[in-house]
Amino acid sequence: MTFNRLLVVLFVVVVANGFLFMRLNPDRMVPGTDSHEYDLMARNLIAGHGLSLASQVPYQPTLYREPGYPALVGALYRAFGPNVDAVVVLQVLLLGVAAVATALVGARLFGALAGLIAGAWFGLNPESAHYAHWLLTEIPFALLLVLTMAIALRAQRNGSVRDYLLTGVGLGLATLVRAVASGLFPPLLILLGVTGAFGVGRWMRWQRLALLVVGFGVVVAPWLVRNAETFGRASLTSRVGVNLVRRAPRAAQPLSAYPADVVASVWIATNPLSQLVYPISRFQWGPDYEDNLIWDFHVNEMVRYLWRYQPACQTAPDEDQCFADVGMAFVRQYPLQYLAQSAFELVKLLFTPLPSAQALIHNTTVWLAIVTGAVLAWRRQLGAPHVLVIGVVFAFIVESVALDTQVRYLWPFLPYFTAFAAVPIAAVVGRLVSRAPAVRKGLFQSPSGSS
Amino acid sequence: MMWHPRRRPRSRGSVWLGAIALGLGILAGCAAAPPAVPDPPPPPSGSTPGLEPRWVYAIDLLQHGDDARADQYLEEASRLDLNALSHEAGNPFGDALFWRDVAEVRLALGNDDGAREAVSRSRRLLASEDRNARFDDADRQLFNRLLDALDAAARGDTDALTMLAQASPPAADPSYLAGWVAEQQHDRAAAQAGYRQYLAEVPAWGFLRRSSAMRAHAAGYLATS
Repeated sequence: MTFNRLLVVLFVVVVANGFLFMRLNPDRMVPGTDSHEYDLMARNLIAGHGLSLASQVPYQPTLYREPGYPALVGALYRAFGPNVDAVVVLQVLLLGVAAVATALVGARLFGALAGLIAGAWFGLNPESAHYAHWLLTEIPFALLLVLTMAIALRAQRNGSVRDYLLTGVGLGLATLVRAVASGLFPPLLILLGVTGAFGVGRWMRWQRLALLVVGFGVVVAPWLVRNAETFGRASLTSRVGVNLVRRAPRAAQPLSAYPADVVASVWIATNPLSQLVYPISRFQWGPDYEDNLIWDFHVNEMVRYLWRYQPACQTAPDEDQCFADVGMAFVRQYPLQYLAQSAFELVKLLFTPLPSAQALIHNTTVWLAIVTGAVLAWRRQLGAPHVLVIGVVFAFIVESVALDTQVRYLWPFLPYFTAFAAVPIAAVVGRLVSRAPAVRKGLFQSPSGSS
Repeated sequence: MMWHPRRRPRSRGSVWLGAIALGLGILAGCAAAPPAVPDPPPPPSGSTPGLEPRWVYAIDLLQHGDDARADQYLEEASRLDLNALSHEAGNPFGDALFWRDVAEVRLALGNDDGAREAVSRSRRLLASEDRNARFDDADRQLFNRLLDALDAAARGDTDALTMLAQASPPAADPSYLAGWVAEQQHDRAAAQAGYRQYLAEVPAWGFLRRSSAMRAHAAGYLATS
């Protein structure tokens, strides 16, 4: 079977799994998350109230949430009525496409077999199926990112003007779904500038990089113009400060608080193995499920800081700027502590905190990817495409760790982790099936013809 | 297949230069967009049920620097059923925070007795608030210190405010209130000292609802005195 046919099989299997999961799990809105806000914004859009988080007149405009996902949901509501199932059906299909794109990126990095394993690993992951059946931005955001990465890798390879432009457009669209994608623009531009193919000619490089800038800028410009006219500032979102204030005040905590954070970090990074050795129940300090050291570390402290500063910032001329000022005050006052605590934030970003089968899969994937990346780097087996992918993922991690982290934020970047994690699996599978010539012929040639 | 063999890209200089110029023009237009400030929302109508819309509107008015009208809506809200307050709507401390806000605004408008009464109500409600994962002993301690500071300011007790300002972990608000009381008592040096300390500690350690107005007032006083 050829690589292309296997991609079709991958799409069908991922979509079938997604539909089955959707059928078995009827919940669509996630309590305590953004689901209800997206539903409200989509309803406001189709009712002609604009992008608003208000449920009554005068439907004040918002820049708290980006427009991409509400616009997508609103379009589906308009076509099929306000039915979340229609959104979930589309998200299942998009997950199938994202799995295929993951396979293509994986194949570009490590060959066809590793690519297919990565695509299946990502697409059939229970975490992916969960996000597909919820009204959340994860699926379209992950798809736009992985498509952008696939096109960027192709641009890096062939220097096509169209691909440079499309890379910018893709990242712009991803930014309109989640503003955090805008932080990937500088590393993508720099890495493509350094490692990309540009053809001959003096101005080729600058022309292509300028097209990337233009593609990105033209897509996000209308949103910036709207915010400049409505709120007096050309911002992508009003969530920067609110994110920083949940993380930065921790820098002021005394040294005596660090041991508990270290314990929680080690426990989470080794979860669920740690659950076997030292059950999470032993961290419980109160009757409610949230009364637990792991919850304190992962969620409770962030909420405490937000609530502490909310009264003061709600009356500021710009609430988000007020939160940002508070956060930056802590960064300036306690720079070393802020830096040191980035290690805790990294753990919060990378690893699932609560013990479950899903945590086993997620955390194993992350560890396997990290170890594989380190081994390949040690053996000097990483080339320009790997540098591009690692650079972009690293930029996201730095951006996230500096501002605000939740393990949920990592999932859209899971395709790249699965690509690296698939390498040792592909090596084992490759050895097992290498005696079958028909299989070898189809699978062991990378799509680009190189190994 | 997605991956094409390496090929030499075609050059269409003028078209691409035009596209680039257009894109950069749009970006420049964005950057040059004039600032605008959102209008204040309309007030809740008399028939709007519940305390929360009035509280939220009062907060909006405080944001626009209108203490007197904010007080009007807070007083109106204070006569309504406190039990209807949601703990999920951005007011985690619920009724205790509501009465702290009332105390602040009454104090700012010179209603010292009313401020002390509101502090007392807030303190009682805070005591009935259970400790939980997201409102721990440190939060309770801080909240109580702010109430103590509001009460001391209403009594004109600068010594108590100075002590509260020196407690640890830091809270800047007692320093402001010490400066504010000193200003009322025409003690310029003490007022300047209080305001200076306050401005040195905010925004990291400023928690009261009127923080923005307090910062503006402290900075203005220091600039003119």
